[in-house]
Amino acid sequence: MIRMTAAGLACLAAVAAGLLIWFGAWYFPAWRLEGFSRDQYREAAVFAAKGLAHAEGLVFEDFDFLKYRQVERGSEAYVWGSARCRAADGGTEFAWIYLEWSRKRGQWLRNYSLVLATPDDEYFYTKGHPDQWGRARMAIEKLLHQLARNVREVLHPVSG
Amino acid sequence: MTGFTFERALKILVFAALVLTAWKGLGRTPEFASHVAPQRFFTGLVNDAENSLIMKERHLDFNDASAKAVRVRLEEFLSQGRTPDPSMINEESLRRAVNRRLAVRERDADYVVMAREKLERVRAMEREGWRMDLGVVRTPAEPAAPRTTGKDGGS
Repeated sequence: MIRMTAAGLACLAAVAAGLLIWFGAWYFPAWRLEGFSRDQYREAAVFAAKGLAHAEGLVFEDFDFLKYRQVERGSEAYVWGSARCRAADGGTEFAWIYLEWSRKRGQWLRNYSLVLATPDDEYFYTKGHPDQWGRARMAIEKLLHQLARNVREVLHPVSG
Repeated sequence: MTGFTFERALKILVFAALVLTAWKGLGRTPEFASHVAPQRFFTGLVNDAENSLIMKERHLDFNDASAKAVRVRLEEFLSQGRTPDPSMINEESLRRAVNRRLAVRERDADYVVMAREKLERVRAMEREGWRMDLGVVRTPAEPAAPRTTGKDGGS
């Protein structure tokens, strides 16, 4: 009985981990970016920025800057930029948006994207604060926050 | 000898894997690739250098965008009349933070320069048709010590 329960829990954990990996590494990066061609990098970046801002409770205004780079030998192409957003209290927030072109999937994929200079940013660490455990905890919380934001973005997509 | 046993099949498989590994590894050495498949060799090198140049530029941009986000946040706090507690931020700590930040930015900007230099180096190698030297590398014999007669002998 105990053995069966342990095996069941292990299976459940494996399925949950697999689901998280599938969502984070395969499903979400491509989600709703299928329609943008490689030359429509600006539209794709604006779409990704609007979705991220909406999931963070912000309103996307415009890109502070947006850069497109591609290699001459090979198929890699990148677009990144800093999106200026408006918070509910009127404050300015900047979101880093980074997409990579995937030749294999033939579309843009979301990559490392996040709101810049949040209170848990390393910029605001001092030598003694937080301590090692605090830093580890903050890093894990940051990752979970990003995961939750991505799930929110898919569950409650930005309208229009 | 009892014909085709399981052990023998296993040995053949292991041997085949070894040969395959050696062949694949050989294909990745510059000695082999630059002579046998120079086109592919240089395409790989240039692609690698191009991608790392783009990456270094992106890292620099990310840090600059972060710095701007911090600055805008600070300006908005200041415009609301909110100033930091001097026990947390004072002239000394601010000076240190600014210096550290400038040093990091200088380093990141230098990484971009180095990546661009590397890309140019690789392209020049391709233009000149560089091939890995196959000869045995010998350290040049130590030149005979110059007889120092004057007051500024040696280098």
